[in-house]
Amino acid sequence: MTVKMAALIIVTGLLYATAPAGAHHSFSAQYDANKPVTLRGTINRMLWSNPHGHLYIDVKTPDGKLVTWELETAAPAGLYRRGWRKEDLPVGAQVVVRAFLARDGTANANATTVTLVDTGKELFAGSAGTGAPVEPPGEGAGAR
Amino acid sequence: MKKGAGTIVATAALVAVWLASPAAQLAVESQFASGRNLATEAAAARKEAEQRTPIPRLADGKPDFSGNWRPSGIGATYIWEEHLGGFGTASEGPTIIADPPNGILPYQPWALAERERRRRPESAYEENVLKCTLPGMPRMMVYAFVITHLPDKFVVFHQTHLATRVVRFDGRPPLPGSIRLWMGDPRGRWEGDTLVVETTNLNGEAWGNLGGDIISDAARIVERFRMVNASTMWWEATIDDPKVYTRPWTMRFPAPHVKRGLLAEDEFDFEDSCHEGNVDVKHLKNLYDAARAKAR
Repeated sequence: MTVKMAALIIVTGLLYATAPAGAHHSFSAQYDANKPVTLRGTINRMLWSNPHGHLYIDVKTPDGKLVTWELETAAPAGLYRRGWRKEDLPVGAQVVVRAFLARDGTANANATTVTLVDTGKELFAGSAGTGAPVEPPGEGAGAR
Repeated sequence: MKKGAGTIVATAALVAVWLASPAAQLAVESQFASGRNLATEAAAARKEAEQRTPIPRLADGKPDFSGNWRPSGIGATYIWEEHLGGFGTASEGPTIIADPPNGILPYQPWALAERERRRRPESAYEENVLKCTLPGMPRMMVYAFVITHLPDKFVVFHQTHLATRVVRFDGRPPLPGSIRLWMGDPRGRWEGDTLVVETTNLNGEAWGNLGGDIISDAARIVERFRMVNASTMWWEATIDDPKVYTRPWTMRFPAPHVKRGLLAEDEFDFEDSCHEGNVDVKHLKNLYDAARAKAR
């Protein structure tokens, strides 16, 4: 699977002032801060796990196929402190996710914000550098 | 505690947290225009807080470090020297290298080259915390921790990666050099009110941080814990590693550690089970494998 397959990706061209936070691993080794994307899809499942959470969403390609994207978030502790709750993320809900693409060309990205289409609620997913406050090391959020 | 002391403790804690924030960095830049010296003001505030919130002490008179501590927020998980955002960092950050005074790690040439190699994306797969090992020392000390302080030992419970260090004061002989550990063999002693912890017997396999800084098996790490008042503590570590560096060096946070429980968000602790969803390894291995295939 290549990034090209998922043609619904809109490369936003947004260049943030600073690179987003890495965490349990080096951000810049796994993701490319120069490749921000916006993905629109439906929630497949949410993995509330350490050292990172992962949101899986199904994104339709132009030819109608579904590609499941794996979107890394902060750890559950960090998400919880930022207001994320299980009931916010029902399977099948439409979301728009801003993220940074993985370097290995798979359908993997590091999520910055997740916006629920129905409610307009925006959740900060863990990557810092977007103007959101950076939590201290050891708080299970942007830095571990 | 005297009446009103809690308010002062909370104020001192907030000052400490604020000093480490991006807003504080801007303030430091702007202070010269206004003629203020925020460092002096903060020092005065700390002194006042210290006078009003005395250091808690054990029955033997030694400072009691027991509590739930966290460092002030900087990106020391990533890089210890002054850095711009971009290499896995949340943002630019100040150096936490207090000595040498220029804030630059005194690397031997081979080690500097090795650090640069580690910073390539395909090298990240080699990093140990990615695989949920213990982070090692002094890396572990950039995370929040809980201390239980007893007369004969000092136990540090690290909240990330769930390591426990038992620092003994009982004078037992050190471990033989043949025994090598991720967290090393820590021994404690007192210099006045300062607790000094000396760690040796490291295995040399842990990266110093995500930025690839190097700590070898020859390292001797001397930490100093010094409480300022009931709610703040300075921590620093001097690393003597003759295999890697040209001289010993010291790291220190720009603000003291703050005892938790004073801030609203400190409502409860979360467990940290690193292995349960570590799906990132496969992506970094993809990069590692691709680089190796290309090199053949």
